[in-house]
Amino acid sequence: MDKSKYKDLDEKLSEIISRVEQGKYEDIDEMLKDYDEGVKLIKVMQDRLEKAKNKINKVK
Amino acid sequence: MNDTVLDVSTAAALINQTLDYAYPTVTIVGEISSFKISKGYLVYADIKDDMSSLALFGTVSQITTPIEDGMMVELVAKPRLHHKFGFKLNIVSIKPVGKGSIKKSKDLLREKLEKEGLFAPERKRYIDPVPTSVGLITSVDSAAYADFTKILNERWIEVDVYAYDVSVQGDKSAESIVSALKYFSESVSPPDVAVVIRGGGSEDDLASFSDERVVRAVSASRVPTAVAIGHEVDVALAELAADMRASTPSNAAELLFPDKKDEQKTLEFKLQHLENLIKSSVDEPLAELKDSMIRLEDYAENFLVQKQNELEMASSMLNNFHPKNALSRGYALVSSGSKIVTSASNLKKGSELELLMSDGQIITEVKEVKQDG
Repeated sequence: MDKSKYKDLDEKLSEIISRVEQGKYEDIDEMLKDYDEGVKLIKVMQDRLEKAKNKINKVK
Repeated sequence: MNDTVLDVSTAAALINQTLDYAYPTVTIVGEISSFKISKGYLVYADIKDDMSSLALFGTVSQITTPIEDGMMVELVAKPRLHHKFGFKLNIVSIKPVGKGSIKKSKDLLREKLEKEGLFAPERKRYIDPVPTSVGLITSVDSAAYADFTKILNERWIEVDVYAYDVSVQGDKSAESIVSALKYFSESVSPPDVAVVIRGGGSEDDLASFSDERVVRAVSASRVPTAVAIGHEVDVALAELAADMRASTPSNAAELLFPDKKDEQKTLEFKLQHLENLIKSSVDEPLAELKDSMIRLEDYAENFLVQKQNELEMASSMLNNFHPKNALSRGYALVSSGSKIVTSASNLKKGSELELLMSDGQIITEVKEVKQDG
């Protein structure tokens, strides 16, 4: 499982969507690879939203 | 006790010793008059009631909130007999009391800090829309703390909360809030935002959130700040100095963190968007392929038809030249032995001939040979 923070995953997803929106690919396989990665990321993020918690530390 | 004859300095020292012993500090409530600041740092004033008036002395560092004539104050002071200037109350702390005086003091401070630009909108800093770490400054036993963390846990995930326990009211409150803000400001890994929260209370309970030291610490914080004091009527000055203000601790959590449910909807939208993009990207090349296929099929079909026609024409031509066609029109194929006879000169009387007709063969014999010409 990807240990990056949700925020980092979201940034990565935005980059993928932006690339797919621009559509500047050499061939269609590259685009499909991005699509697969984007879908996987979304699943991971949906899972995180369901299960992840906050951490409370008392410093003083 | 016998009267002892003393010199003036000794008498003053002795009286101060007695005062120190009997009244190390006194707390007095009264009205301020003749308030003045001399040389920029020395404070002189009187505290009075209907019957009496006592002189005060201190420095500006001891005045943490604006004071002016006519204000009711609570003064903590050390009684002192100065060898030259007589009896004075040396200020330890002084704060306005009573609704009118507190409000007046706050108004004066607000005016002063406003002039300095502490509340200016252009000073407000950007707060990360999805903070991943929060410095929470409050009493960890308070309802404010419980409300904030409850809403945070309902709304968002993966936030590291660093809770700094402070007094949110009373004499030590301002000092502890300032220490907390300094702690996060000076941290090697500062949080994304420092959040100061407290539930509702009386004007006096909330006084530390309008204390000049707290307001300046909020404004000077290296970490962007959010302040939420749970009251409805008036605004604490720290809220005005903060980069973000919220009406209650719960509201602060709502403003600071996105909502999981909204994010889930956004993710669903992004998934749909991605699928649509891919579909439209693949649709075009697919349509082109389909079109090419149709054109290829058309070409192949036309080619076959054309070749078929050509074959039929060739076949028809061949049929036309077939000897059998000539035989059916009454001609005969003449052969002698195994050779086709094409000239009368090759024959002589008595030669045996085979005549091939369209429907059979005739064997005959040459009676006479007549050549043309």
